[in-house]
Amino acid sequence: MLRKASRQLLTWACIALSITLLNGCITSRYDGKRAPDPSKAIIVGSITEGFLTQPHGLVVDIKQHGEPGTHLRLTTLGNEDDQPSPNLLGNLYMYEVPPGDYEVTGWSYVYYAGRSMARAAPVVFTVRAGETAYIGDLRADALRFCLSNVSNAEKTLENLKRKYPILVGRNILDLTPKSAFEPWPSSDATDSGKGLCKL
Amino acid sequence: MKRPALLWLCLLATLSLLAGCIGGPDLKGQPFFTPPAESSPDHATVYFYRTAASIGDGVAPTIQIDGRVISSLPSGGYFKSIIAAGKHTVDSTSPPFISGKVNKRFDINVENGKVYFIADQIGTSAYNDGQTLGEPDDASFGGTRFYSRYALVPTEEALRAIKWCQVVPAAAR
Repeated sequence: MLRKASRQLLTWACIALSITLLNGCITSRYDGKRAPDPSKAIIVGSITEGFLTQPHGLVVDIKQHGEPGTHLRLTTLGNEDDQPSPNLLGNLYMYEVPPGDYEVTGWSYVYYAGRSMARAAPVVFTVRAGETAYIGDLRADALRFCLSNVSNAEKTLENLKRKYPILVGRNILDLTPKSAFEPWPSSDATDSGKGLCKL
Repeated sequence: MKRPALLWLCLLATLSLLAGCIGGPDLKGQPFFTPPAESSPDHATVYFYRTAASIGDGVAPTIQIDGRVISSLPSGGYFKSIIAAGKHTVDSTSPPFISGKVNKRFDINVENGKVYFIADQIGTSAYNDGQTLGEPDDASFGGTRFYSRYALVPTEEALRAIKWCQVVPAAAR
């Protein structure tokens, strides 16, 4: 009887696990080793975290509006390190995604409990089929607990082309007028007298 | 349906319902605070706010003034209360699932025409800025000590923080 109950429990556990995994379907990186799909868009940029002693695992989520709802999860830990500084960890990334509207929905650190505060103005940008778009350089540090997305197109695109030769000769749109944003605090950010995100 | 399956479903439903009980109102789509803070010449205006919390994010206390329930205060929310000049007692009550008891109480003295900002705050260092109302709390979670309190925050500082908060829906007041 115990064995029967265990089997049923196992079945339910498997169903719950499957639902959890499906729920978190995240798009994987595009390495440019095959020709890009003309029905999709390419998104490029960088993500970097600054730290004093050890990185804390910056995570940024970008989600497509509507269905099927492509989800990009940009992370510093577990990826290559394209930053030469010993106090920076980050990578240049490239994703192939369905055309549509995308929103930077939130960010956090793996090793901190805080999560991004709600935003009054959502960060939304649009990509079209066949386009290659630079969406900015995401950067955070564990002193201010704030994430910003800035345009550094000239230098970053040069590095991206070196890393992903498929980008050489492609017209890359700078979407940062839509996708860049001022420092965005997490719930771990504190006001030291000048306001959140200011030291 | 088999009995274990039914038990699992019941457990899942119970947890979902309890989460809804303690988490407070949903702030999705609610407007963010925009200055200036409104004042009333014949009353005092008190803004209660709570920026997004790293700990206790899913727990919304209920705020009472002089024994009257005013609103719940979820993480990332704010509400405004117009009260008469004078001394008032503020109670913060944890949700029924947690304890249902008043866990913080303090008095405030207010004047007509003035605006006050009261923040529900939590941090990892003890507060010594003179803004604490009543007694602060402290507790350990995951090896870290956290300090929580209500604070009477100067306007300039409050305006920098409350802009990240959304108004609590009227139904929760």
